[in-house]
Amino acid sequence: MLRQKTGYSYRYGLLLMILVVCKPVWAQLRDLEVHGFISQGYLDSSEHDYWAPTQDGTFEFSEVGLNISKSLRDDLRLGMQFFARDLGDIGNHEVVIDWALGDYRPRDELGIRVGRIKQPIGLYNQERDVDFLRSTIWVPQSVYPDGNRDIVLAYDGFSIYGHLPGDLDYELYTGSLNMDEESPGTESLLMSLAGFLPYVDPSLKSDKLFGGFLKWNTPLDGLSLGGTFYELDMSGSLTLFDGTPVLIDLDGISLVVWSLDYQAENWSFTGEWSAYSVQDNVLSEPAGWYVQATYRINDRVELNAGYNEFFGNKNDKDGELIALLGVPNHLAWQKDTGIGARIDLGTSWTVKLEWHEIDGIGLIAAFDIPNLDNLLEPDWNYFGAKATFHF
Amino acid sequence: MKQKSFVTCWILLMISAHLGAQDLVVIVHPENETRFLSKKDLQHIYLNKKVRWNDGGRIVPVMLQRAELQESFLARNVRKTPRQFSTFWKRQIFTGKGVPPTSFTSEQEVIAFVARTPGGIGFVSGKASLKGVRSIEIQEDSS
Repeated sequence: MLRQKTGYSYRYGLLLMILVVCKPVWAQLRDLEVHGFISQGYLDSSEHDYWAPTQDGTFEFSEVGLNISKSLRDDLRLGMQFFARDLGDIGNHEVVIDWALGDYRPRDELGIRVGRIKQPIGLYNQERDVDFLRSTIWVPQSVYPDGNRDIVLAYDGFSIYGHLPGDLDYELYTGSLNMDEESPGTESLLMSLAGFLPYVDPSLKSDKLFGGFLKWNTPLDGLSLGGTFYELDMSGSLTLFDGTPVLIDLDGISLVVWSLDYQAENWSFTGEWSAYSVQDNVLSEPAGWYVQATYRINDRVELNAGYNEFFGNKNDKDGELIALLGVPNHLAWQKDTGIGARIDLGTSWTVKLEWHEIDGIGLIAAFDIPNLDNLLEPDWNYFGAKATFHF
Repeated sequence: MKQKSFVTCWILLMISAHLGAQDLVVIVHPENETRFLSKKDLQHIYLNKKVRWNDGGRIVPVMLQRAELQESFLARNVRKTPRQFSTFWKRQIFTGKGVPPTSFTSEQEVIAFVARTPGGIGFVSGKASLKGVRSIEIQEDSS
């Protein structure tokens, strides 16, 4: 399996290299903007498989993306990005359309995007798969848990956006989310709805989605404050192993994120807080927060440090409720202290190294916990390394 | 003697400050009716927030790839380092939000582009010959 995946990475890498070499030629011929990236990571954890077989050390952690865009008029642009990733059993380098949109920007205050659009959640959701855009390997998992990445990543619909007096940036949107029943986020949601009993024939779709992001660029240079809100209804069905049909009708799932971002010349500070709410408390309500600082030593090296706290249910932060079910209470949280370095080699290559000390296993997907012995260990750590090329 | 040295230093400081202010000019198309911009306006233009001139015409910003001038322009007006500016635009590119301003390697190319583009805006050194373009006054932001 690993050999096959490495083969995929090699082929995608070769394809990207050909595109890099040919880029000036066909970009000139067709007046296209062409950009891409390829990342290869390594993860090694002391306990628990963290999305991939990390206890043995794994290279099953890679991403590749290629986008093209073209301006049809000075206020109208079309673009799309293909993307493939591999993280343990997730993705397996299947190529998907990451975003594909038409963007009409007639005024400063008003632009319209239509198509598949990255969902504007907090500071990082839209760029979470593009490694070289941030200092750390992972986006802060307390606010951007990989467990629901596939659900919240992008929507099919339209948005209005723009820049308003008072130095405000906004984006409002509506549409539907992609609910792939085999993606980790949807699967764990279905498992929860099935009461953790075996099920067949699952289906799940989003009926209503609307949301928005507002950012205030404050008079203090480099400091911005942001707020995110979205609300979602979902419906679907599944059949339990004994033939019992279950209808799913979830209304009023909402998320709020507050963001603070300060960018100085050589250092930055970010902090975010997020919480889900579910009408009638029919599901657990995850919440989390983090703070993170980076310091750029020189053109090549940037250091980072951060602290994350994630709770699987904001109403059970100490795990007392789940302990009543016989589950270790440290399944209720995950607290992560991380340090790392980002090394930029020229303008196209980035290498990252990271170390994380972790208390709790609230972010580990159910299928990554192979046995009860493993479940009992609350303290663990992992090392990560990642290299990215982009053009 | 001390007083004389002080005056000499003061004059030299004033001259260097004057030269510093003149080492970079922002240029627009000669038919552009905008007489001045604030630094905040320039920041918004180069960060894809302000896309229209006051007369409704499309703003087309361009960059000059000369390290010292670019760094000075971005620090003074866009309030970003070249790396931060580059990352901002990569973020736009890879999330589908936009494409960065066209970059030119020489001042002549910047001037030629702005001269033939009614909505064009760029920056060059104060020594450049501004044939076919007009310099525009950049004002401090009002508090």
